[in-house]
Amino acid sequence: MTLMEFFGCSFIAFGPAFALFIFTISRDPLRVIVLIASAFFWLLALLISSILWYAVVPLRKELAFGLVFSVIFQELFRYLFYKILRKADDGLKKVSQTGQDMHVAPRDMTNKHIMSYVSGLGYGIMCGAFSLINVLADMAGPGTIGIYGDSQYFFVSSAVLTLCFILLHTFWGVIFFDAWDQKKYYMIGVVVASHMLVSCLTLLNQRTESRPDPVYLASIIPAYIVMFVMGFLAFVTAGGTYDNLKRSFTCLSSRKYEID
Amino acid sequence: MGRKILLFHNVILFYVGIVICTRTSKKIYFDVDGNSPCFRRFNATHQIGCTSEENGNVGVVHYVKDDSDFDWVVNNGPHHPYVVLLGSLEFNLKNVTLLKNSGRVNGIMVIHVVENETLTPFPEEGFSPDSSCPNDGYGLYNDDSEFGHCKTVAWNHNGTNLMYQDFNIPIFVLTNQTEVDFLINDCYEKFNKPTENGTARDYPLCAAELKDRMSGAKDSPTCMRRTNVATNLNPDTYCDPLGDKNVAATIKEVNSSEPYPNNSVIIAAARLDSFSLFENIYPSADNHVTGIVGLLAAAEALGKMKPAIKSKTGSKDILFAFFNGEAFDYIGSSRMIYEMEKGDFPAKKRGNPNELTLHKITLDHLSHFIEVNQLGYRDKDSLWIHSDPHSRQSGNISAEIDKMISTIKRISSDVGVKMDSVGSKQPLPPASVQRFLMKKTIPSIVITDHEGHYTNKYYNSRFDIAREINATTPSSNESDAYDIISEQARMLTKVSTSLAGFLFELSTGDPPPDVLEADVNQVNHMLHCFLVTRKCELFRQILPASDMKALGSLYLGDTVNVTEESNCKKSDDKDFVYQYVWMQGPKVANSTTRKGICKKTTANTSLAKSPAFDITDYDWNSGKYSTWTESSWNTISVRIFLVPSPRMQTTILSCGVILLLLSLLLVYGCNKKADILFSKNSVY
Repeated sequence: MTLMEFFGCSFIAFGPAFALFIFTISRDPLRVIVLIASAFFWLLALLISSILWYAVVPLRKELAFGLVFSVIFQELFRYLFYKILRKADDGLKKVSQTGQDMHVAPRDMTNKHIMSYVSGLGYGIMCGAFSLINVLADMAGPGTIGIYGDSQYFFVSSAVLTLCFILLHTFWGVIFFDAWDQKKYYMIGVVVASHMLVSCLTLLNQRTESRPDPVYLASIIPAYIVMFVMGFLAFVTAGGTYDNLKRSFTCLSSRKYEID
Repeated sequence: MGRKILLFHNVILFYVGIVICTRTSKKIYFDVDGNSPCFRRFNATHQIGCTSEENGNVGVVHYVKDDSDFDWVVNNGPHHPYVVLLGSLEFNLKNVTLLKNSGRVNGIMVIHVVENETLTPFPEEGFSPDSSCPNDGYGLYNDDSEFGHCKTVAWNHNGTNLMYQDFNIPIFVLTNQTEVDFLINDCYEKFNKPTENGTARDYPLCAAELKDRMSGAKDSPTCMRRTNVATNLNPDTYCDPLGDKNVAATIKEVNSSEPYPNNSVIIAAARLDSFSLFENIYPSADNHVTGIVGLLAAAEALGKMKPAIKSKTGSKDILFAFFNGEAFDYIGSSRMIYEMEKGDFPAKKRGNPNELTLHKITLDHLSHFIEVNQLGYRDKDSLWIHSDPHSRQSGNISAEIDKMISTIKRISSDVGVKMDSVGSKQPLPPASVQRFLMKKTIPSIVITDHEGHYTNKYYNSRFDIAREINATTPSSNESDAYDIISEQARMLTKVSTSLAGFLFELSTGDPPPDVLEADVNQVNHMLHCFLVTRKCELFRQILPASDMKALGSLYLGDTVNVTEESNCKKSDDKDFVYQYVWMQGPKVANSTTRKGICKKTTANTSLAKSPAFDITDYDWNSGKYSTWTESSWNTISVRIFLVPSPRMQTTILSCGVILLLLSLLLVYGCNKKADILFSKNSVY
């Protein structure tokens, strides 16, 4: 029965990421490689966080402790990945130059934001997969959550939050990489702080003694506000302006600018 | 693939608990582990019992307590299909048929928490899932114009025939108090119970999934044929013949080189099995633990008299026989007769003539037959001796039967047990001896606790428990409960003493000596072990063996003076007369160690499998042998969970689809216009 819930939640959580992947990533092997590599770095961050969580026995029951350190490690590994990506620039340039006499550097290399976006998306997809797949796996059976008094909106809120995190990671990727490039260190602060904020908000989804029903909206609404703000910042960072936006709508039917 | 076999031949089982981890499914599902399903079985023409769909049957839980609840489930309730939770009194043929025929019920759960008498009241008027004329088609009086089909006495007057219905929906009993409470309070009352003014509750509703998919279908011939066809490398089993092991032991231990005249063996028999509608819930207190214990205690007393019986010239041998699978059309007894006819009893013929074995016993060897049936509920404080009216047509046999009756009456009244004989015009109740009488007319009596119909109102049902026959003691401390003599044990001991005395006199012709007496402690221990807990001292003593054979060896075998398990074996390769059984023995006083015992015994098991499955080209419809098989199965599970409203499900799904399509569109557009959107850094 709740196969419907299963598909509904999968589409909500991963639909946009899927769309981004097929239209912007899948046709370009270089982007796919970077996507996978960045997803792998997220996994490494998870590994380190879980080792720490496992090692500190007295705080194992404290979700907040693990969460804070997980955010720190994720940002640390995002920085590591940035470093490695910039180091690999020359190499990547070579791999992507297929023709001998190509003098023009490929767009992926000249526009640094593209790789930032790709790695951000990789980070987000892996993060989303890990937060939702185990929930989805149990969703396909005949039942839904709630026999022990849990909220029946658990599945749909999980999916919505997962979507939010995937997009947030994508935006953070663009902002964060650019901040290092341009040495705009306060932007790094913004990314880390907003990541910490949204992650800590999800603690509200816990059921505690004093709050038997989780307040999902209390975490979802602020998270989406942060997401839209970050989306705007990323748009601007990548060179988007109001004029550009207007132009893109006005010349919907005009000649194509695509070069490849 | 699940495997099962009949009843409690293996008397000792230990359960191990398992630790569970937590994940989301643990928050969705409440697993009901204390469950026991009704299985599907087959005979030559029919299938009976229950099955679920491949993936389990799901339905909204409704606790049916009164007529309005029945009406709700069968007619008014909007959220069908339902899975119905029934109390022990409501679970009867009428209600089950009503629910099943409504087409709105997907499964039934029955509360059966024996410890709690308010949650599980026992039906005052009695309850038996068996038919009112058990084993009719395969007994002596099948198609008999005078006695057939229980024309004279309907033995099991409480019989509902529930066992022999084909349900096609799963039916489970729930045996755990905590889980039943959860189901009633946290599932039904909280989510499903209609409001005061009779309107249905809104989603989410609490539902149950019952899963016990049976692989077999149709009937035994079909199912056995499918099982035996090798279609691929991974052979599937669809069903297995019902059966287990008979146990038999002789007193005189005559071997194959010694003379063994015809008409020199007395059979003292009891049956080992019973059934109930639900798997592994065979409390079987009255039928047939009382009979088994009564006969075993008599065997123990006689075991001490072995030298006296052996030394007496012309004494008859006594064969203690315990038949298994009798409730399913006399599987065990018909198998033993089949083997006797082939000359394969007590053991299969061996090829080498130099080898020494127990002397074979054929039907010609049999001289008398004493069968002990239920002994727990005495009708008018008396036990009743039944005999076969057909046998009495021959004057000799009739005189012999009368002699047996008068002997046992005399001996039992000396001990203080009242025994009476029923009229000679009444047929035998369902008993293994009927199968022997079909082959050979021998003087036989059946001793049991009812004069007419059964005094046990819970015959072959889950209510036939120790409490009902006063075989429990009030103490909750295991070692006390083990040793305090129960009311039933006291009475049974006297019966065993009279039985032992009777067998002694029948064998030797001498009156029983005063020392021949059953041990009240042994009787009490056996009752406790069989009915209350299997983790008891007596069963620990016979470990590592764990079956009736070990008990028989303990009581009838000779102790061999060895201290090591490895030395507990025969010394001569060609000697196959005795079995050697090692047991860990009783505790040494003031210590935790045990002193092992080695028993040399004639007690042995033989297969209790219907000959129908061994005879090539057996005619399934001949009605000669039992054809019962049991279907195999994969998973047995009961779980409770919430189901969301269909509206919420469709909303979530459509939101998901819309979001996916929208983002596809948006991303496609953005990607096409990317150069304009982010033109500051572009190559232009």
